[in-house]
Amino acid sequence: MKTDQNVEPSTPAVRIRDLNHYFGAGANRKQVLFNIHLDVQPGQIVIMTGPSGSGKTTLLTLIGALRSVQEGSVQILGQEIFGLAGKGLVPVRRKVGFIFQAHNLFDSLTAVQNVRLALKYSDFPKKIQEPMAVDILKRVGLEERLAYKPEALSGGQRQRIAVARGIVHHPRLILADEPTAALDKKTGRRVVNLFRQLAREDGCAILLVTHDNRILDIADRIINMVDGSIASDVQVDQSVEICEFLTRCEVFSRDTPAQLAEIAQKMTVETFPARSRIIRQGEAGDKFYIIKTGRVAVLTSDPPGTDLSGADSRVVELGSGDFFGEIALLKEVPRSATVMTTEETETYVLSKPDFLAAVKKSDPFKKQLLDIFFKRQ
Amino acid sequence: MAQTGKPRLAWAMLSHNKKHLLVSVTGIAFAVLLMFVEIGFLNGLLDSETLLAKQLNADLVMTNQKKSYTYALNPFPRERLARALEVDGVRQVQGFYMHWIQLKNTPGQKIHSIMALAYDTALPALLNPEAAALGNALKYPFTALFDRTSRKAVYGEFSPDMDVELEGHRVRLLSGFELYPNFSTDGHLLMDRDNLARLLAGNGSDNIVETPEIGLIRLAPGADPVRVKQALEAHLQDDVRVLTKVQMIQIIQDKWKSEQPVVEVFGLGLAVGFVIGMIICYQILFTDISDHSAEFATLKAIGYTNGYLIRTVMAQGAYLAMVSFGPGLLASLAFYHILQQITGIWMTITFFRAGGIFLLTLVMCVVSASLAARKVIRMDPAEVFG
Repeated sequence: MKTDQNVEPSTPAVRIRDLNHYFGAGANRKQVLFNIHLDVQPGQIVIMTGPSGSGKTTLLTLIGALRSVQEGSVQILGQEIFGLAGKGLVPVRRKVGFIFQAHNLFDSLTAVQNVRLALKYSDFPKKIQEPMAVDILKRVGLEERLAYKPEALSGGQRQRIAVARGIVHHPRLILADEPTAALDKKTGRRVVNLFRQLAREDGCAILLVTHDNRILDIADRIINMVDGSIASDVQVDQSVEICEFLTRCEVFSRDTPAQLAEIAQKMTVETFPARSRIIRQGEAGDKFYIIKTGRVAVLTSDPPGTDLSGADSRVVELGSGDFFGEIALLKEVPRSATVMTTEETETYVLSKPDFLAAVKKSDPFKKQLLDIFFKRQ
Repeated sequence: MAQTGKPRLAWAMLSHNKKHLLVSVTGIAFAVLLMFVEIGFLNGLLDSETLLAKQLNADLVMTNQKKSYTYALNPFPRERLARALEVDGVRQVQGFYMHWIQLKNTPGQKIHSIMALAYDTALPALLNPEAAALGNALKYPFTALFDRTSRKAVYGEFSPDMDVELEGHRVRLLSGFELYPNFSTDGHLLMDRDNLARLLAGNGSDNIVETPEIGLIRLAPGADPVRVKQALEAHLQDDVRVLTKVQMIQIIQDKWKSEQPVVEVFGLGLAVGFVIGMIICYQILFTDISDHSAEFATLKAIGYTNGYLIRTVMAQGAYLAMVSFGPGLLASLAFYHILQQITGIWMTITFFRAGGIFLLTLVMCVVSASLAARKVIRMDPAEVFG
């Protein structure tokens, strides 16, 4: 679409700052969204979860320009929609692809005609609208049902028409509410693959509200909303990587996935150039590190005498997946060694309070750690 | 590819459920019928009152200056008609006589007035093939033609070759013709003027032949009616006037419209039909919008404007008017036929009247559609999610 050409590749598809939203007025005014911050990049697939009443639907309607923003900033494909109402919101909606759980197809129109409704305000010439609708229906597996009316189709087939209607006009942002709820495994997968293709090839940002755990694997990010706030915002690939690192370590291997995920979620990424010091022996410890990429050297320069480090000065090389920095946090003692990078190193970092909280939560975890310390001596 | 192509939403929604469409069309057709019946009565009145004037075989007509409508009798001296012949361009004149006479159909039956029309039957005074064909036979004394459409409830049955009692005389009815009863008379008889004179001779009236009701003036070929009319008006006394047939018909209609509240009565009836149609149409479309509120809200959510959706609903109204008018017209024709049988009033639907009712139907449906469409404006696209 013409307007989309103005969108820089770096512009987030969705950029939300300080968003608050209220329902009702006067004494009945109730806040439903609290201080939402959210960036969704082009090509990203975000799954939103959360119990009903958590505000995720309200957030989705705000992103879709289906209601006016009351407080805060919402930018859709580079366009600020705070301050827009009524007619002003209409052009924004046309740039978005909507897939509704209640597919709301016109019984009186055929599959192709229903899909064509979404092209009415597109810049695609009339001549190619029909082939476009036909093509997209083929891609969702309805090539045999083009001229059927919804009442002659199954729930899953209708759902796929709704999906086709939501994406036929090549939107740069797709908002989908349970798009696979009515689909069986095979057709659900087909739709999911189509989403993935739209994200990867066309750089389309996709925001899905779903409880269908069969399709969680397409998510780049999973956002969990609770009581009107974003309770967690997980970069899936990173989280999975951290958890894999954690389980590879003996220390964490017996933790449940839930515990691991919780730890992973709290970790941030810190990058160090080559030959830089990450921690210095003797300083107070404040962080726990896992190496994502790169290598580090662990140096104990002082003679023995401290309670835990009885061994001689030595150098240990650590690489991807290894961790360090835990002893000072657990024992409330100064760093027992210096850690230097030998090449550029990316680390996942957990702050001391988060680390201690994680340890406290899990006695076996603490016990395991102590076992490790015992073995190290 | 079958059934694809550009989505024509308004028509598709309207025609999707055939049963629903049938009910809708029936409703609107009913309103169309109501309106047609109202204008049918009004026009039936005006048409039937002017039917005789329309059938007069004349280029210009002469009447008493004070004569208002056809059946309000007000004759003029025959001498005026004779003088008309002196004017250039006048080829022929003929007196046309009208008189209420007393009729008793069968012995023992009550006496009723009937309108007798009379002229010199050697010259056809009416553009009525049946009357013209029997011209000579009517020269026989005490013969007449009967109006086949006369109200049977009043006069009983007329049949060819039967005898009736007119003004105490036995008269032979030769056969029938058609002129239709109206609000002034329940029926007509047609006879030679000499026979009318014979019937009235006994009751002390002046010689009827000397007092025609209408003068029929026929012009020479190529004569200009307007110019001849002006010449006649200049030539004749002020107690008569000369009219074209169109003028005469207009005067009759104006008279009825101004002196009787017919326009008001039937106009009100027409308005009631219109309003009923609006209510029916509103109800149909409002229900339709309500049934499709989720779909409409979805369209709003994907960027359709209120304006577009309102136009869609209005188009639905227009389509509804178009498909309902035909059945409504057919039903009205049937109903006119029945009414004509019952009342004897001549009722007809002209192209012009049908066009007028069609426009009214269109306005009715489109206006009520635009009212129903206000619901679309209130729909919240945000409700589609969740």
